[in-house]
Amino acid sequence: MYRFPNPGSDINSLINLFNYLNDKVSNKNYFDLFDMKEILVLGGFIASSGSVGEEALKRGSNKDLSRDRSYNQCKMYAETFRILGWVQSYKKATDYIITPLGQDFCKSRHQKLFFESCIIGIQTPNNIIETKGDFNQRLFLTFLKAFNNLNGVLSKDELIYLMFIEDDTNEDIFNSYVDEIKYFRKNPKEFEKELTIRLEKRGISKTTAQNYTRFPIGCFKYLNWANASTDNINYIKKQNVFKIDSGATEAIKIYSNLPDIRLADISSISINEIALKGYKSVISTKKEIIFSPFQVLDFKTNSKIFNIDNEKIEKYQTEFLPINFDKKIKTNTNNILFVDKSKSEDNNKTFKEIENILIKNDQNKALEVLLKKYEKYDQENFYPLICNIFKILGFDCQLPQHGVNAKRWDAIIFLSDDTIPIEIKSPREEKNLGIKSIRQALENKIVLLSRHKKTIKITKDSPTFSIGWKIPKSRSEADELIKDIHKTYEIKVAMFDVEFLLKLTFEAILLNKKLDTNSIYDLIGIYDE
Amino acid sequence: MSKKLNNLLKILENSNANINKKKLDTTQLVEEKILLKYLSKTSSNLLKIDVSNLMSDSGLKTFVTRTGDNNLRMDALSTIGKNVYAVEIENLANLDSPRNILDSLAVLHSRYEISKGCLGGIIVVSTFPSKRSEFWEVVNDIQRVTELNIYIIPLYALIILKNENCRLSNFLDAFKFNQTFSFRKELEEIIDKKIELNYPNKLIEAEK
Repeated sequence: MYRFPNPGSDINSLINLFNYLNDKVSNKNYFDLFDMKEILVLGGFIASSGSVGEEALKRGSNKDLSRDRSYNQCKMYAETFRILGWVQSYKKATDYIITPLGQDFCKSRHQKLFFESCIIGIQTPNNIIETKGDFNQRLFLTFLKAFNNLNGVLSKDELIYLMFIEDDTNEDIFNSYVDEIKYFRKNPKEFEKELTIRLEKRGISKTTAQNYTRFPIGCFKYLNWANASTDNINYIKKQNVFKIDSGATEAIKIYSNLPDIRLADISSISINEIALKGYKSVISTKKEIIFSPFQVLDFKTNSKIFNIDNEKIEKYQTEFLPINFDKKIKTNTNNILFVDKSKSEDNNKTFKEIENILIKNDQNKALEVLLKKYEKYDQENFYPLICNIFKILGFDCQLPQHGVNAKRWDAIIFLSDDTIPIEIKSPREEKNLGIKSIRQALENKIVLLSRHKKTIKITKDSPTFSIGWKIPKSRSEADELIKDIHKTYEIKVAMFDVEFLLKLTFEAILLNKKLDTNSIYDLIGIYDE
Repeated sequence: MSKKLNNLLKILENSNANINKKKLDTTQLVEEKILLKYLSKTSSNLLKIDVSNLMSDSGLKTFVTRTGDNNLRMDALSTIGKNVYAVEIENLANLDSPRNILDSLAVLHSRYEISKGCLGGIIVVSTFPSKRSEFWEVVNDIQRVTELNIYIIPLYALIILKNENCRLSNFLDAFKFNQTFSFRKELEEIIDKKIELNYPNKLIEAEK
């Protein structure tokens, strides 16, 4: 029995989700389920799932992934994209690459017709997905033919029954299934018995079998092939059915007379020609054969036929932020995705620490106490402290994952429409910031603008920060350089010492206020006390 | 040319007049071993002077800047006509070179009123960092974001150009960084000869 994945029955969402995924992952990258989960959670397509998700997002986590709802949702989506030929497994089964078919689908202006070609393209056996049993099926074509031969109606159980068809290229077998269904329509108890036997033999519960029909039914609705209805003409008692609609009639016209190429029909000689002709038939409205290479042949074979340079494919590098970043998702990412929790001080802890000191002391004394403590901080404590200070000030500030060299900045602030990298020097590294930290702050912004413009919102409107214990000894030199940089590259470097930031934090805590986001855009130069 | 730049060049010319102008004999330096020995024995200051002389000899008027001058942090300054280049001279290029170039070009544009269209950065490297080095990425980022040209000139190329009597000023564009990580082909085209170095060789190209 063919087991369709069950990612949900709304095909529109499935397509939107894939368009988004394709947008995020270039064809030169492969991605795994963790990347996919991150992209889709951040994009707001799926919800991250509570504490299990929180742990499971960390790579190498030993948590039971089968309990992680969003991870499993991604698995289902990936499986669906795989059977549609939009992604194929690369090296490992759960490393995926978007195929030319997937990319062409996203570019297509006729996604409905394209989608129809892709579901017709699903066939068993193929060299991509292993299926249990010896089946030769092209089920969506079988469904169409069955509608045609069974008075335009099919019930859910009949769909399940059709998924057992051994060889739908064999007309006798297909006709026997049609005849059996006709008989069962008059003898429903026998049908129930027969279906139960078949399912039990395969160890599939009725509920699971019904779940396998969700994707086909979703497709029927999306393509206007069939709609839910009731029927008491073809059955002895009133039956919930799917009733054929115009989409299916059109599809029958298009597909029923085309040569249907199965895996067994392909020889090593004909493979190139069939694959190319088949691909053309899938992506264009002019169809010559039914054969979709990215749904049948493995990635290696397709790479040769379609000249895909699979040596140049690299792992997708997870990014920090989606373009549509709303408050709800923000909460997830703060805690789950990017903060290296083991090394990060808990935000509340910093807040509470400062608040407690402020309750007992005046601001000057509080400053003295805190500076005395923080002066001993090395980068392990100081970077999270700066990050937490910005959180108290009301910003979405994050530390990059530990050990990611390409992320040159020490922390990063995500505004709703811009991004500020932060260069930090802890007091243990150097007491006074140097000219070098201005250069590094400049470089951080340039690297972000150059490498991440497509994935995060970043402009030259917002500054780049340099933060340390104290400002440079040669203040005027630093000031001049910041001006030169702004005049030449239109990039604003803003430098703060920790005392200045702490005083701002005091105000934020005492007045229960946050910094006005707009005020941050115009910062340039040196800010100290 | 701005008055400020004119003054700067005069000052540099004067200060460079006192610098050891003993010409480096480059005939033997095409031998990899001899070049590497020269590099290991030469101080970074002397290397800067030698490279500046080599560049000047090839038509790119180059002045070494004063160590510790806060206004001019680059190692040297080159000019061809109205074009001005901040030069970094490194034994092995590291991330500081492109960072310094950024800083130097900002100073030249902002304080000496040189238009951005006439500005560029030159990094002279004795040996190339590997392809995986962040150096290349950052150079690429700078070119992409600032739209300023960065030229990577192998010391070995300067030596060959000198020996072959080719003027660098005519071929500077061949050394504009374009992510090929190798200047062998460009150099061979300029001198119309095969380079007699094993491939790959970090004197003219980045290894894996």
